[in-house]
Amino acid sequence: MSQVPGIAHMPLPVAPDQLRGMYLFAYLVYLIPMNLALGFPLLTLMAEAVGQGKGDTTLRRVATWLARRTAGVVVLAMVAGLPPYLLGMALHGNAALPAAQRMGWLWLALIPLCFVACGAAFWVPLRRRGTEPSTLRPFLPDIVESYLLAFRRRGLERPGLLLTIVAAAALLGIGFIFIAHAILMGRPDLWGPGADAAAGTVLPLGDSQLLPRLLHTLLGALALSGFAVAWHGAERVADGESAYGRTALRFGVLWFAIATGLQMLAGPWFLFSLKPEVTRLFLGGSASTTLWLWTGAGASIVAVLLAAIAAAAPEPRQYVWGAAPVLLFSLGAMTTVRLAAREAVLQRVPAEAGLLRIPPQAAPPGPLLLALVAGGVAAAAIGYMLWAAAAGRRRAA
Amino acid sequence: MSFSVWDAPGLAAPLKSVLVFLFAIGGYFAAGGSLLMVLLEHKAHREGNQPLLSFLQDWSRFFLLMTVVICAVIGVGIWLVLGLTEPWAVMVHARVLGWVWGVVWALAVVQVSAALLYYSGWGVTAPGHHLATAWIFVAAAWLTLFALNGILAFMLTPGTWVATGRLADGFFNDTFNAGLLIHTALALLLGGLFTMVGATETEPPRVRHTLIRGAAGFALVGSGLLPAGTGWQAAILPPAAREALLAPGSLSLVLFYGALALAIVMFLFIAAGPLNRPEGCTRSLALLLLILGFGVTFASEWNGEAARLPHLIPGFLEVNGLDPRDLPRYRAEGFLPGAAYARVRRVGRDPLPAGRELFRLQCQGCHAVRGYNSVVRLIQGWDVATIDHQLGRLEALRGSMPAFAGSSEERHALAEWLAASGKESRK
Repeated sequence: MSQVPGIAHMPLPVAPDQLRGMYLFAYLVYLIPMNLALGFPLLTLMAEAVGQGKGDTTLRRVATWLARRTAGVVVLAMVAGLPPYLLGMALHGNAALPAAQRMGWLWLALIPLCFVACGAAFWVPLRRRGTEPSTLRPFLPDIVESYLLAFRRRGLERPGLLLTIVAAAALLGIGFIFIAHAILMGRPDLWGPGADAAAGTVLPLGDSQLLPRLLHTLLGALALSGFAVAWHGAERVADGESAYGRTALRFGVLWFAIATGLQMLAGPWFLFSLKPEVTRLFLGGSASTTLWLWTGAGASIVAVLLAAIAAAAPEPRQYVWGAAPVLLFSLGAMTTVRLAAREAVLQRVPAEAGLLRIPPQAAPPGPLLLALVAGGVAAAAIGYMLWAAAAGRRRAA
Repeated sequence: MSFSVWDAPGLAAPLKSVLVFLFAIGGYFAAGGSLLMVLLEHKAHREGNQPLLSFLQDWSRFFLLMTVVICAVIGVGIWLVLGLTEPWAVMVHARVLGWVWGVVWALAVVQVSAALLYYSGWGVTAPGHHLATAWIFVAAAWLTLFALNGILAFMLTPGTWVATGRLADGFFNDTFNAGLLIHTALALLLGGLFTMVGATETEPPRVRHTLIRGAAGFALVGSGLLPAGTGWQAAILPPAAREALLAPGSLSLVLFYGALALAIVMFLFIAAGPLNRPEGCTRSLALLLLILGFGVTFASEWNGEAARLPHLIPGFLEVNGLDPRDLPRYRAEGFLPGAAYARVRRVGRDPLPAGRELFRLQCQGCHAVRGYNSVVRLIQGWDVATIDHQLGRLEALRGSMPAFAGSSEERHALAEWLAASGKESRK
């Protein structure tokens, strides 16, 4: 007698609330590199443009630092994206998957866009001057090799800038697709059973959420990236590299403050673009959701104030370190609010598409424990490698 | 059936296959190439061989691009494509194998971190720690192979999982060990062949020969183990899967024996050529061997799919998202009335709309009407009665086809629509 239920009655791997908790944590871990991946190339271009305009070589060094870090955050964002993807599918696959199918061709475009973004971002730090032999050469046809070598000879700035523009454009495209998908998920009229939708080409372009949501995402990315630059600057100041560190700190704090300030306008615009019954949740309709939203918004203001104090302080590091957990709390609160909003929107998903509407069953703890142990060992291994690299750098310095 | 389908007939299978193949290439290179790299670094430190260290520093950049950029992007890509083409597979992976994927993810994070820190650590991180970082990558890469092998073997021979529901019963199954041998062999083969190509223009010749000989040794072991693993797996497959794999006249039969023969030829050639006379190994020769290695890898991946089809997990889910245990119910009550995303609910006076809908929900994941795996070509010359008869015995007609799910009225509607599509295409 078979004990495994059919796919339509497959239980969740853990109880729904535990799954939600894990999803929130995974999404928060993903949210940070994802925002940095979107924000770093944009801030690179800003720093380079302003640096070139003012003839400020220190600011251009900040641009170089950002450009060289973009590759790492892009790949971290992609790797960190898998857990929330799978957990999200276990939770909301009933809406997420058909919505992705209805915008299938654009969804598919994520793959080349990821390649372009990752490739361009990596090419900036991995590009080499000169024509020295490279192990890449045997893999390249002569014509490609000649182009790449010629490309290298043109100097650092222009190709680096061009690649950053390409990476930024691709990352903006990726951001747009994910936002369109998130909006489409809440529109079962466009993908649900009975929806007479064209195959793979549906986009919620006329949806009132699209513009405010895009703006909200973009500003969030700029704010978090600005804070990361401020952090980097404060660390450099503490290491005695005052001129460069102060420039990076001021530039980072400026963008953190501007983007967070504008978010105070974009956030409410986004909030009121949602369905009224969802908006009401944030305005007292649900005590917990309201509390998370407003404490999260308040925390981001506190973080900006601390960062602003850091920009003027003789020893900025302590203020930036103080702002970091406040900002993290704000991100956590916003992640919680996002999930509450999504689930409120998904209440409208028709019951016949509701794969989630299954009574949860007890799952054996073994596989979960195994995953947690693997996570612990992985964290220890990464911690060791980071420690070894930092020790090496200290010794080299 | 609770799932919707992506209306891109015939695109799903080739798209997924291409991405899986590319991912496999990167994954095998990560596991095998990293082991070779760390062994070479040990040798370089032991001998104080600076040119060899310089090669490895440069090589680690290529390694980083292959393992981090290519593998990470394609890995993400596979999930995105699966979401479109086989949403039921995503749900199975998320709900049944979610924690195994959690382990795979933890290992992927370790690999990405290790690759970045290994590359940026040259000349900065102390040699002992640098080597330890490389060993961490090797361990994570091979454990990833171990876990992915368990998932793939679970999908091929789930053992008693369907009856017990215990993940361990499905994960450590009949073909687990044979699959692990095949995957390890491919990792050694591709790790060696990629490194061989990268080494062909290295100076001075002494270092080049050392590299080529080391790489050839890896490829030799890989090409030697591969036939053993392939033969072992074929011998222990369930009869139905073995018949599907070795069906007379099928492409999988050609690829199965072709891969075995090619691996043996490569073994002999590598032993006589690059391993014995590394000075004669040119870039063209190394590239040719690498392409042959791709061929063997492709055949191996194809054979894994051929043995599994038409099941996603035998006894639980077919590739078109249907549960074979529901067949009696579909035959008694019909398929369309219970399909959540069906646009047509029952067979009407005109059977063609219902037939079209049945094709959309059950067939178009693998078949286009015209184009990839064209259904019109397959039924060429058949009349409605013949099509209807063959639909009734699809699972016996071709080893890689799931049974038709639906009432006799629905089956006839599909036959009518297929026949009409065939006529239309002949016009």
